Amino acid sequence: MNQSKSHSYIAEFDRAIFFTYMILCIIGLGVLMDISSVRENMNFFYKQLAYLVPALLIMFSALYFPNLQKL
Amino acid sequence: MWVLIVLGLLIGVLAFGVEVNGAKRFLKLGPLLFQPSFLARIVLILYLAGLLSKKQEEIKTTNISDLIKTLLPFLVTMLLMYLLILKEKHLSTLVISASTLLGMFWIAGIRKRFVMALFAVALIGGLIVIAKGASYRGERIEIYKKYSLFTKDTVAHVDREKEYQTRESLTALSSGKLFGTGIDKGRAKHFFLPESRTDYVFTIIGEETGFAGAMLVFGLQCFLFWRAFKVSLRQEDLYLRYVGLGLALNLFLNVLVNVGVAMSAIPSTGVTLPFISYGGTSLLTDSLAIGLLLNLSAKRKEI
Repeated sequence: MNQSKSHSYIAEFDRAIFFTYMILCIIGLGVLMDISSVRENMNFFYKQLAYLVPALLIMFSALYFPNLQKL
Repeated sequence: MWVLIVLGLLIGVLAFGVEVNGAKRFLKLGPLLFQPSFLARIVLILYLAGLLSKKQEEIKTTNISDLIKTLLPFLVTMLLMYLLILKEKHLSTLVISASTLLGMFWIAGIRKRFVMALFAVALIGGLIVIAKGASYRGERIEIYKKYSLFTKDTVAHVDREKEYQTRESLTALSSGKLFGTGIDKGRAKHFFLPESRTDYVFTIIGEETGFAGAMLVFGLQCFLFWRAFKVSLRQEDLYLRYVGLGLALNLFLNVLVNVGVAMSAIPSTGVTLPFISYGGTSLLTDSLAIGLLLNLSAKRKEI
């Protein structure tokens, strides 16, 4: 007998939190670019940019984590 | 399981940690450096939220020994983690974590006098650490007394080299005036403030974009806290509510400490400004907190 499993998906989340977070991250990158530029070493800016990729992945993984009660 | 992983990582820092600026707080993972103490803060919030939601009736007791018995597994874990974090000389993260957990106790409905007693114990513990611990902590208090936003001790004698960052931070902030010196025209980042990309990033914002720019950034952080607080209070499930409130409080306390240090409203300590300061671990763990808060806010539909 076929039993259809019901799945839930995220239809909506708080966009204000998401966009504020993104704006702050972009401001952060801008400030670090500004600070790094005078030191003739953009390493810190590039490192922060590189960290932003896993940070976004972690953020989205946590957002789509199916059941927070299991944490 | 998360508690064991974090304890393992914190012990790993003591055994194989990398020293940066005189403090051994980092684990080297390939080309990246990671600070487990940041993760410890989130794990303690999840652990406490679980305990408070499961023992909702027991924590409202009027008997202190019953309360300690209920909270004992958590208190032991917390103390163990805090001792390991203290070994890393990371007092600021400990203060933020302890304040967050006290806030959670308060919100969960533990009797106010017990929360105040826990606060007193934490305060006495903190004072003992400052008095008996590394000498630089005492020096920072002296610097704070001299430059404090609230009380100025003009006779305090502090080594000019040691008060350097605080003095430069205040000079830079005041030179920013209302609209700042202009982007890329600031003076502090030209080696006047060595920690300008981490602990004093707010100073750079204040100097180059003035009071208006600094207030915009601070306002965005306040808005984030307010939204996160609102989302958390909407949760019917107590565990989710406490997780949300704990995460929101943790992020906002970070903001308050960072901004407070830049303005000399509190003694100097190394805390990053969430999402803005340079720092891989803080960006990763703060993003994890935002992801969890967004998860709480999510409305799900069945397929």
